[in-house]
Amino acid sequence: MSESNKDILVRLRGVRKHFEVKGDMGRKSGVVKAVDGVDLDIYKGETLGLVGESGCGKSTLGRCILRLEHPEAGEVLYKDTNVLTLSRKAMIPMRSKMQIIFQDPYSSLNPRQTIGQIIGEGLTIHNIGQKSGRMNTVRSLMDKVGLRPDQIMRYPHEFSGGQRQRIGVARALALNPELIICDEPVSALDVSIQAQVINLLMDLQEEYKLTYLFVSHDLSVVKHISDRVAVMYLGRIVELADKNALYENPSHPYTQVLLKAAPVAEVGSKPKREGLSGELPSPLNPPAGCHFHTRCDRATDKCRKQTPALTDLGGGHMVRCFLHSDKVAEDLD
Amino acid sequence: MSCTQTANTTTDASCKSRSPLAEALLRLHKNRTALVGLIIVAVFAFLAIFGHWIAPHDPLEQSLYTKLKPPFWMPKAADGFLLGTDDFGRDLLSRIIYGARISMLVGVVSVSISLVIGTISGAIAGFYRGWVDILIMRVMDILLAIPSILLAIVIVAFLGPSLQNAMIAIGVVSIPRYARIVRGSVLEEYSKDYVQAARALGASDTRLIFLHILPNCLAPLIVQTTLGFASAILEAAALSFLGLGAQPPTPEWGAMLAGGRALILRAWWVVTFPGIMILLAVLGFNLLGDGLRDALDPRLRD
Amino acid sequence: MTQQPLLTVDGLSTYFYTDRGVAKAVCDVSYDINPGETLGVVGESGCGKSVTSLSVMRLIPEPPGKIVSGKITFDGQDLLSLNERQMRKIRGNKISMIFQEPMTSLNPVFRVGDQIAEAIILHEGLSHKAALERAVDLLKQVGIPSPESRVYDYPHQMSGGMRQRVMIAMALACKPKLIIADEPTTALDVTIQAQILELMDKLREETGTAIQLITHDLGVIAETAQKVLVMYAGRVVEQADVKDLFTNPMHPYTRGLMRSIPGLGEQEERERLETIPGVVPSLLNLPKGCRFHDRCRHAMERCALEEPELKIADGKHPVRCWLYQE
Repeated sequence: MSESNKDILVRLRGVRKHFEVKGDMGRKSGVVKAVDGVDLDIYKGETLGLVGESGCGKSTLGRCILRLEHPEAGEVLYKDTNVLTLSRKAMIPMRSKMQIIFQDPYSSLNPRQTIGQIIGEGLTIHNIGQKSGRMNTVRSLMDKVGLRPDQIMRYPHEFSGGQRQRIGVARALALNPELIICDEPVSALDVSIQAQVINLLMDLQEEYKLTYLFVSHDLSVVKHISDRVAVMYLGRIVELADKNALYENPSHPYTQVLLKAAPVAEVGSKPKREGLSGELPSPLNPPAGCHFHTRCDRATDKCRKQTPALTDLGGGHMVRCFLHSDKVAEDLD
Repeated sequence: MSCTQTANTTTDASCKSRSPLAEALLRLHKNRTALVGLIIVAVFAFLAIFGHWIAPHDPLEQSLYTKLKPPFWMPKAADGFLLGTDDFGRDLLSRIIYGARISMLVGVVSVSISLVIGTISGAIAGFYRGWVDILIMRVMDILLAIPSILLAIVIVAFLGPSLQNAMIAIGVVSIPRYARIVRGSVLEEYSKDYVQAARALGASDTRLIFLHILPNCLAPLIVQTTLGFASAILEAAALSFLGLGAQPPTPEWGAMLAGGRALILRAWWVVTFPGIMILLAVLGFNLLGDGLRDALDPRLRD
Repeated sequence: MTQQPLLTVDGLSTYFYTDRGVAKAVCDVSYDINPGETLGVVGESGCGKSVTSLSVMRLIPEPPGKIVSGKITFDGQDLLSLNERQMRKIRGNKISMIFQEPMTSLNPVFRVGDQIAEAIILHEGLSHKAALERAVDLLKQVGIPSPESRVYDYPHQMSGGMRQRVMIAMALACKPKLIIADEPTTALDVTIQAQILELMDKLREETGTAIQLITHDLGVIAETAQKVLVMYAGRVVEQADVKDLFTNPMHPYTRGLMRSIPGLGEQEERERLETIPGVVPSLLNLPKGCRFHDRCRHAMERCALEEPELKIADGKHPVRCWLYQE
C-alpha cells in the first residue's frame, strides 16, 4: 500500500512551530519548540501513523497542517498549494478538503448545538445544498457512522463517549474531505469501544478513499491501522518507515525503547524494561545536538554536539541517528 | 447522565431530549431560595408593569389635608391611605408602587448598557488577544479602579442630575464587570476542541463568537446580570439620596429616603417603607442570582 | 504453605442512592490478597473497580453512597466495624492509596517533602525534621535524582512521572502492608509507565507490600499481576491466576476484551478488530439476568432470565457464566 510512485497528497517542508512561555511579568521567559523542523510526505490513500509521547509535537503538527496553528516557518503543500500562504478567503474552500477528529469526546462537541447542527455545520458554512437536503445528508452520515438518524435533534450530553466520537467522525466526513487528521481519536475511550471506532475509521477509509494522519501515543493501535509510521521526539521526526519495517526492525534507540516499554497482553517473558533512563527533558530546554542523547545508552560525544539528519536506510526507512548515518556513510565509502 | 442511550436499545419514552438551558431551569426549580427570589422578583416586575392600575392614588397628588397621616393600623390614620402619607400629603403606598416601576426601569436600562457594551468589549478582547485585548482591558482596569459611586457621581455631575443620567452613569460604571466575565469565558471556550473544529470547518470569526463561544458563556453572564440588577437598584437609590439621580417629585425610593430623613422621628413610615422596598428588591435579585449560579454551574451537575 | 490472606473482601456491595434511582456500583464482590502479592482488577468504565477500592478504604461519600453489605477483613481486623477515628489510623498507614491523576492528587500549595512528611508525622509522631529526612530517603527509594533538593520542590515543578513517584513515596511512607493503586500509570507516557511499573514491582519485592492494581489495560495486568479479577457492571465475572487468565480466558467478556485489543505481537493484515457490540449498561438500569447478556454472542435464553453465580467450572478458575454451569 505504499509504492513509491503513489501520489503525494501533503508535503511538509521545514515546519517549525514555537510557543512562547510567559514569565511572571508577562515577559517572554522561554520558547517551546513544539515542532522543530519537520519534513514529511503523506501519500494519497495511506494511513500515516504519528507516534510519540507527550510534548513531542505530534498534535501540534497535525494542527499546523490544517492551519489551526500558524507555524513560524516552513511550507505545508497540499497538492502543490501552500496552505500557509493562502489568504483567509482562499483558505475556506481548502477547509473542505482537510478535516480533523479530536481526542476528547466531551470538549469536541458544542454542548449547545444539537448533533444535527454539529454534523451539518460544515454544509451550512459552505452553503452546500438546501436546508432540507442538508438534514437528509446529515441523517445518512449518522447512519454511516453507526448512529440512529432519528436522534438528530438530541444534544451531545445525551450520548456516551463512543457515540460522541462517532458524531465527530460524521462531522469530519460531512464535507467529503480527502485528508483527515485523527488526533488521538480513541485514546479517551474504553478498550471495547476503541475497537468499534477503529473499525469504523478503517471501513470509512476504504469506502471514501480517505487519507489519514493518525496521531496517537498507543503503539498497538497505530500498528493496527497504519501503513507507515513516523516517530516523533521533542519536535523532530526520529524515525519513519513502513509499519512492518518499523515494528520488526526499529532502528532509532528511542523507537526501540518505546516498543520495549509498551505492555503486551501476554504472560510469559519477563518484560525487558531496560534501556531507558531519566526523565523526558523539558521542551523549554531541549538538549543540544541530538535531543535524545540524554536518555540514550549509546550516546557518543558527537551526539551531544551535533544534530543528526534523517538518513535513508533503504526502502523509505528513515532514521535520525548518528549510529546509522555514520554506518551508512562508511558503507558508501 | 440523564437520557444516555445505548447503541442498541431505544430511549425510554419518558426521557425527553432537553437543551442544556432547559435542564438548568429545571434544576433551578428545585432550589428553594432561588424560588423565593424568583417570586419576589416576579412581584416587583408585576408592580412595575401594572402599578398604575393597582396604585390607589396618584403618587404626585399633594394635599394639605392629608399631611403626615400614619399607616392604617395606627391611631389617627386616614381612610384610603394604607401606608400613610408623606409631608406633602402624598399617598405612600402609591409612591412606593410607582417606585418599583422606576427601580425596575433603572435596572433594565443600566444593566442593558453594561451588558451590551461589556459583552462586546470582552468578546473582542478575549477572541483577538494581542494589543486589542491589552487596550480594552486597561480601560476596564481604570474604570474598576475608581469606586463605583464616585465614578457615577462624576458622570452625573458632568451630565446633570436626572434619573436618566443616573441610569447611564450606573450602566457605564458596571461595564468592566461584564467585560471581564465575558473575556474570561471566551478565553476558556476558545481553547476547547469544538471551537477549533468549527474553525477547521471554515467558520468565520463572527460565527465563532456569536454561535459557538458566546452561547457557552451565558452562565456567569446570567448570574452577573441578575446580581447587577440588585446593585443597580442600590446605586440608583444612593444617587437619588444624594440628590444626583431622580429629582423630586419623582417617587424613587432613594429620593424618598432623602426627603424623609428629617421626619424619621416624627413620621417613621415615610422612610421605613421605601427602605423596606429597597431591601426586598435587592434581596430578591440576590437570591435569584445565587440560585441561578448554582443551577447553571456545570460542576454541580451529577 | 498456606498463609492467612492479608485482605479478605467477602460479599461487598456498595450502592449509590441518587434521585434518579439506585446505582448498584458494586454487587457481591469477594476476593483476597495475600501478603506480597499483586492483585490486578481489570474492567472498563462503570465496572466498579474504583468503587471497590474506595469501599475498602471506607472513602465512599455517605450519602449518596453506602456499603450495604459485606465483610472486609484486613490483617485480622474487620474494617467495616471500625469507627472513623480508627479507620484514619489505618489509611495512609497500613493501607495506602495511589490515584490516577498525578496532576491533581498532590496539593499544589505545599512542598512535596511536606506532603510526604505529613503522613509520617500523623501516624508515627516523628518531628518535622525527622519526617523530612525520611522523605528524602523515600524519594531516593523511588528513584528521584537529587532527592535532597527535590524534597523542597512544589508539585508544579515536577513532571507527571516524577509526581507519580512522589505519590508512591507518600504511599510507602509508613510502610503499609497494602497499597491500592487506582490506574497509577494511565495518565503517563509509555516509557514513564514502564519505569513506574518496574519501580512498583521492585518495591513490592523489597518491602513485601501487597498491591491491589486497578487498571483497564490488560497489558499492564499481564506484566505485573499474579492474580486477576475481571469486573463488569459491578460484578466479578472472572477470577484467575494471571497465567490461567491469559491462556484460558473463559468469560465471553474477557475474551471479547482480549480480542478487541490490537496486538503488538502479531503480524496480521489490516483486519477488522473483533468488537463487543453495544455499550456498558447504566448502573441505574441493569438488565435482568446476566448483566452481559445483551452484548454476548453466546447468550442463551437462560442468560436473559437468571444471573449466574461465580463458580469454578471444570476445575479451572471461577467464572460467572451459564456456558460453564448447569
